[in-house]
Amino acid sequence: MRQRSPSGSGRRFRARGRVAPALSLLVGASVCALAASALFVPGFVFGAEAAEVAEPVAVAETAAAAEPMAAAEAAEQPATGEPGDAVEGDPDGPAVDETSWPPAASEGALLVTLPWGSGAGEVGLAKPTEGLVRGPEALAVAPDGRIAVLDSVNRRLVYLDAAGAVTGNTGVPLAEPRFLAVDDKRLYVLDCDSDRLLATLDWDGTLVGAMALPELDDVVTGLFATPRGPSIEIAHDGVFLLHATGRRVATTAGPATTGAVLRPLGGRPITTDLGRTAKVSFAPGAGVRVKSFRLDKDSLSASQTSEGSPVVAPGRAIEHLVSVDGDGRGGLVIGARLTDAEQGVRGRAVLALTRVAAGAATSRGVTAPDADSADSPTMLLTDTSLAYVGQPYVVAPDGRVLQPVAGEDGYSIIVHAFPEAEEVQP
Amino acid sequence: MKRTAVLVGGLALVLAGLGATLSPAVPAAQAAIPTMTRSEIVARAESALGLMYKWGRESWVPNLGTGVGTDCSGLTLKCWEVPRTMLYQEEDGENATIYPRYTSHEFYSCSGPWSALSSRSLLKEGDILACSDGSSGHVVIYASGDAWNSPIVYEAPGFGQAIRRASRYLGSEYLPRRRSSVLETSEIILDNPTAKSIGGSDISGNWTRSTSNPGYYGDNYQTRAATSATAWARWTPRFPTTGYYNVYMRWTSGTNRASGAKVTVNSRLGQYTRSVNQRINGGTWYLLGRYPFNAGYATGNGSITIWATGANGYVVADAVKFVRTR
Repeated sequence: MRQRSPSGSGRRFRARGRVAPALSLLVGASVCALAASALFVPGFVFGAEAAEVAEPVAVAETAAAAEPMAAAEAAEQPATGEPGDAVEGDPDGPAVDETSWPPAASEGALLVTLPWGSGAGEVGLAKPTEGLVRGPEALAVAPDGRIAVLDSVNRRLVYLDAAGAVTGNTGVPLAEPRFLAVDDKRLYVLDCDSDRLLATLDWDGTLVGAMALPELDDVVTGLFATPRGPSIEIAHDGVFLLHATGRRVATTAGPATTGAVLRPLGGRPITTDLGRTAKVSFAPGAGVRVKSFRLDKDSLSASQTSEGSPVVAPGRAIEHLVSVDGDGRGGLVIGARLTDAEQGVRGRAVLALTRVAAGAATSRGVTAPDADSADSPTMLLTDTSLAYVGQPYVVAPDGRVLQPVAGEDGYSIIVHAFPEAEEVQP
Repeated sequence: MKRTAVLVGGLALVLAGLGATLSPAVPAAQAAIPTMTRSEIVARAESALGLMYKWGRESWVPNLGTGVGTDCSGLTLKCWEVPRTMLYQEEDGENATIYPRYTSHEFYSCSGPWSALSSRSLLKEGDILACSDGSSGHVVIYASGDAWNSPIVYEAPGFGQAIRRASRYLGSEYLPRRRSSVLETSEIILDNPTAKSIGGSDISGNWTRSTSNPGYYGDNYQTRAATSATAWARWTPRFPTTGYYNVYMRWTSGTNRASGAKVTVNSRLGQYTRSVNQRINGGTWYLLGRYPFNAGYATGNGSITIWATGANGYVVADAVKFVRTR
């Protein structure tokens, strides 16, 4: 992938894929399959992306990159022609209703690019010939704007200030650190696969302690920092506070460790004070369902305040949800991966983030997602990372969306804002 | 698995430029692949959890219970039970040097007994997601969707990492593929136990495959003559939820079979012992009983074993089925 000049934060940014030239070979095969969906608008997506990503690259590079994808595409769908060709059954193709959907993926602004490596200000990239290509596997933003990057390959944390300048790094005593959550005081790093430990650090790099994960029913899907301590999410379903038992646990390496027990929360924390949580579910055909809870921070008892089915990614089919976060204003940002993106072409908008505004206050003074909001702002993101970087975006406590992207030059953080937020910015 | 050396060079570039696949064509005679159920694929993946990633052909030890970890494509080959005769160049006379035939690229480009799915929405347990840029690639086994329909996968990520079951965001470069000859059923059915190539064994003693008597499930069944030596065959599924399950066993009957073959059920409440008369009731799902099991995969408290040891005739190990009850 190529990026525009990384110098200077705030510049407009669009990730460009190495495979972009292959698009002209592939769109014909892809259009047929994609147009089969009544919700697909081929002219809009492919026209915009084909024009946007076209850039000259060496011939050899183009051929090498295009071959595997072309072979796969050919195996899946017969080639039908060039972009804009008529679609079977509809000579003119489906009508393009650009008013019903944002016209393009958010470009965002480049905050910083950290070069690949293991030196100061660098982050690691692992690229096995047979295995997961991965870079930093997590990114987190504190309420005060500081940023931490979990440099999993180098097993360390890299600290950035709010402007994206590197301020330092700290080693993490975990074999496979994968999840990261922060607040203004603490950083929590979780290795749920190898050591099965959660390490707690200060922002100055001091290791505060560690907890051993108890036995879990399923896989870990999230880690959150709360005023009561770290909490984990299991299979995008139950969320639990990791409550230290105080009993020492023997480990083969690393810090002094205590055991931990799970104490259930109502759902994902969506406010930094742990006052509200949300439990969200999604199934194809059933849509998105949100249950909101008010949480007593002392007893951790949760009481449901509302339930609804917000419109997420209006007009598009969802493959699965990606993340659910508070937007800093009492609402939610619900991210989904779209089924339209199934043909494997990089550089297309495949993530839809819908901000569900806070609805009317309930009798208990707790706001809830507005289930009937038809004009919830939606932002599209592309899916262009050359390596696994954990969740494809992170919502900061102030509602900004940070997108990590692994490119040829390094690990970039792109900052996006919902359209209405941009209007009020100077 | 490491790509055949002869293909890594100028030839590869030439083929790439021509838009051809990098992998050698699979002879039609080798295109057939034994049937298996999705529950079997998952059970084999579960048996590998915790083993360390190991790159390359050395880790591929088919039909031995002494295997070590594998890489991502090796994990798929083992869980999909791709026969040894499909794997090595030497055995079709194309190459005298033993190299595995399949890498993640071959899964990606469908140059084997598997095919592309038109949509990731069609994924079922035991299917795979593969990516390849020609120089590196990855393949994971789809286990299930979670409460967000987000994929949970089995994978061997890389050096220094163990084979795991994990939630993983998979970008657009990961394309869905499906093994040929999958016995589609919504039930938890495990066909013939086989010696697992990783993580231990499902079988002890010399069992042989047969199709002599009708009524078997899948392609064949396994049989063992009565013996005083240790000889057993075991099925360990991954139970999706904790609870009670009706357990059924299947065999092919005959007059030379054991009339009281010992069966042990390892449940979450302990071990139960039953016996089955395999001279009758062949070709049906015979109800062994209703037993409690915990969610997950654990041979110690969630498996069924049949013994040829001490039997009074041939013992058949064909298939076992688990049906959740209230």
